[in-house]
Amino acid sequence: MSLEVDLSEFRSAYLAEMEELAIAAESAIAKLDAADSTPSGVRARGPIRDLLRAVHTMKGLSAMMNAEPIVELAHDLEELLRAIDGGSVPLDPKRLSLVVETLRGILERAAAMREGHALSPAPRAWIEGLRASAAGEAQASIDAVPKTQSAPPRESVAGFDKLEPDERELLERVRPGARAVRVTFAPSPEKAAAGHTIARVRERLADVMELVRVVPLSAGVSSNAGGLTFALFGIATSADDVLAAAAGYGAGEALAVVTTLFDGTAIADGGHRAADLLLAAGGDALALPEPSLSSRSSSHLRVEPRRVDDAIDRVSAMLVTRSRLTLALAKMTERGVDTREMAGILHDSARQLRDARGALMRLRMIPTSELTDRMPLVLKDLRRTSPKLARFEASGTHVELDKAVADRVFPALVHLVRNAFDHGVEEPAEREALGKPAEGCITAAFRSTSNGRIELRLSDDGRGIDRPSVLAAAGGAGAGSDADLLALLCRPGLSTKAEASRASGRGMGMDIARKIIVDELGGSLSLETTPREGTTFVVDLPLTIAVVDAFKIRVAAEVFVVAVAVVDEIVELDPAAIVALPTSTGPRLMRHRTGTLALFEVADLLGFPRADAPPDGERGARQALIVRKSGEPVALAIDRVFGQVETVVRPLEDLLVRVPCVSGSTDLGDGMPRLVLDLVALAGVASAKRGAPSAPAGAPKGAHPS
Amino acid sequence: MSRELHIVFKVDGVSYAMAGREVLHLESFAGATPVPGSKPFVAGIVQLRGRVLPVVDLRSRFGLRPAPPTADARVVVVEADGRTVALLADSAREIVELGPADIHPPPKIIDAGSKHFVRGVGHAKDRMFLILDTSKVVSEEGHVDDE
Repeated sequence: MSLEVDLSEFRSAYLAEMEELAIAAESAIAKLDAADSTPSGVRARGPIRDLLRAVHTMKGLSAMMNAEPIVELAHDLEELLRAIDGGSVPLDPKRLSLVVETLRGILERAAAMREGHALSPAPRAWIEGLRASAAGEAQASIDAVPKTQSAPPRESVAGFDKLEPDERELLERVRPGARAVRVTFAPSPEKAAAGHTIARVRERLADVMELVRVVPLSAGVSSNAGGLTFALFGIATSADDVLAAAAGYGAGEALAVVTTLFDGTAIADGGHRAADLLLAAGGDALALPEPSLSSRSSSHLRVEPRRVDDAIDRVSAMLVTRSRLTLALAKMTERGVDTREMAGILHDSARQLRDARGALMRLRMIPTSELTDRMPLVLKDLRRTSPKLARFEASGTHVELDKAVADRVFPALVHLVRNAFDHGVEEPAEREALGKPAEGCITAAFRSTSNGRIELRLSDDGRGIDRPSVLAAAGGAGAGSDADLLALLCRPGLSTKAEASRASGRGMGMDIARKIIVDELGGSLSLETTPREGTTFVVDLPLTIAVVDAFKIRVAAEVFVVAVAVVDEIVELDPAAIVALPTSTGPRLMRHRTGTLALFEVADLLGFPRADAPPDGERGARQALIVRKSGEPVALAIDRVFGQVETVVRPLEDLLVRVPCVSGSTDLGDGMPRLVLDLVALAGVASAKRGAPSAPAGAPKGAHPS
Repeated sequence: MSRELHIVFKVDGVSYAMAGREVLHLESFAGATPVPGSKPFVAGIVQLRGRVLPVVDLRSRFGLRPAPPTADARVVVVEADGRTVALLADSAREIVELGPADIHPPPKIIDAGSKHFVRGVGHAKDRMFLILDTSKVVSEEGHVDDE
């Protein structure tokens, strides 16, 4: 018992150290791999020794942790590396693959320990393969590593036939340590009353497994109202009863509702399967037990991003407090107190706080090399199952971007690289016939653009995209411009006939890449392709995700958010200082210390019914925000400012809701999207309105849900 | 083309069927955030699974009288033309299996307004289901209740 406690205390230190060793080992492998392509096998011994040291240390650490399966793999890997180092066996591509696979097997098991899972022992065949390979038996190879075994015949699993080929493949290629499962959920009024609706079940299941697809099934005999059940397919590492509980079933029913389709828990097929899952699962997949392959030098400080965010939050809170100080100071000034010195100090403190926040934000910036360093290994994996040759080159990798953006965009980049390899690069003979070098080249070029964004051009020198076959696969008509072509390629599930048998479905990959780059990150994706010369994907990314200091305001019972930066002043509305012009539809006039301002009702400008009296519970008078439009101050009447937040603004992309005066939406933490009003544009609408008070700006809506 | 499951939803008592592959998911509806300046048939935006989606109020889209949403109200999240849009229906609680032979084109002589959105009529047993042209429903054009 006490032993377990001790181990758990050491576990995080152990995992951190294993990760450092993994980085060292992988950089050694990358060097070996590079040497692989130099003529006549000239191979430095340095990398082998580095690798040997890393593996040896892993073995020692793992033995201390009683991680027997890891020790066993590491031991035999070490023996193989010694044999290679000693020159008794050559490091041929097969052995290199075996080394890479085994290292992955080790790291996957280490990652499983992080999750608190029991370790699966390495299959005998694998261990024996390693031993045979070290003994110089040429036949021994990666073939010894077993593939995923399927459990029940899949056709018999209801709903499986409804899955897209991509989705089936995802389940079939379940990563080691996980299972592909189907969880059945039959909705009923009683279950709904207990909070088990399909939406809730789906959400809860998404927390304990990677959902691939939810398939509605019409149930023959069923007690529920619509005769409808749902089959939820996904990849899980949790036990049956956990999954059943998430679906609202007791442990006793687990056997009935959870079906294992493909079991990867007992096997250790490493390598590219994990990469596939990583792709298909999108951003979250970075949390998969994939070893970190980044090439940070060990002199760097390793900090959890959460801590940096926490520090930024705290500095932001200080900024808010400082704003309140400024308001308090203004009140003192109004009472005739001489506050000049204090105002000066406050001004300095504001600058320092902003600098501090900037410095913290820079902590989140990482070089793009952290994205590109992993690509050679992705290509290496692809080459293993293909006769094609290709290398990866990156430039501009010193350009930095927000880690939050880098983490989200990585799976999209892997998709694009795989695409370039699978669909762009030709086989060596075909390339040579065209006068190209036998080895294809995939390049990634990053640069900062003038508008504070990052551009990535990901190119291959392959065959270019075959327009006619894409158009045909998409059902015929289409103008065939590069933009049209991209739109077709991004259709979920599109694949051309000739390519349908390939391992990677282009359709799914492009769909996911576009979703990440465009929908999630607010970037853009475009395409340039030339027959026989190659294809370039141009990805435009924000350097950072937009974080804005904002006031929360209430207008006509709705909550909006406005950027602090554009508000000159917040004033209390004094009815005695407001006068309406004889034409009652236009703006009113308001007395202000700078003179007379035009006062517009934001509710009117937005076309909302105006609340004449502040809603119950709102203390004090209504307020107005003073905003400058072309240098001229305009007063915009609102109900009240009720708080200040720092928030992530996401643009509203869909054409149905892309409207002037709204710069995006944000979530204040309650799951309700709130609109971010563009006050400057609103002031512009107001100015335009002043000339023609009868013409409403932005079509007012008659009714909207309350 | 084999027989395919369709999600059935109701708007003003009429049943509509939509192929399962067009539907990403169904969600209950707890109100949308109105977007000023958007088309009258846009109920606003909702946030579902981390994504912010526009909500097309099908009653308003079809020029029907508005009705206060009930607990039965559902949003049918569909993918069309590379966009993801939520359609607000009165309820959605069944599915039906339809094959190509069950789906007939709408008669040529029908009301021009609804013809814009209906691309077929599905027959199953003794019931009829209207099949929507999703692209048209989520487009900016052709709404019936022009002001």
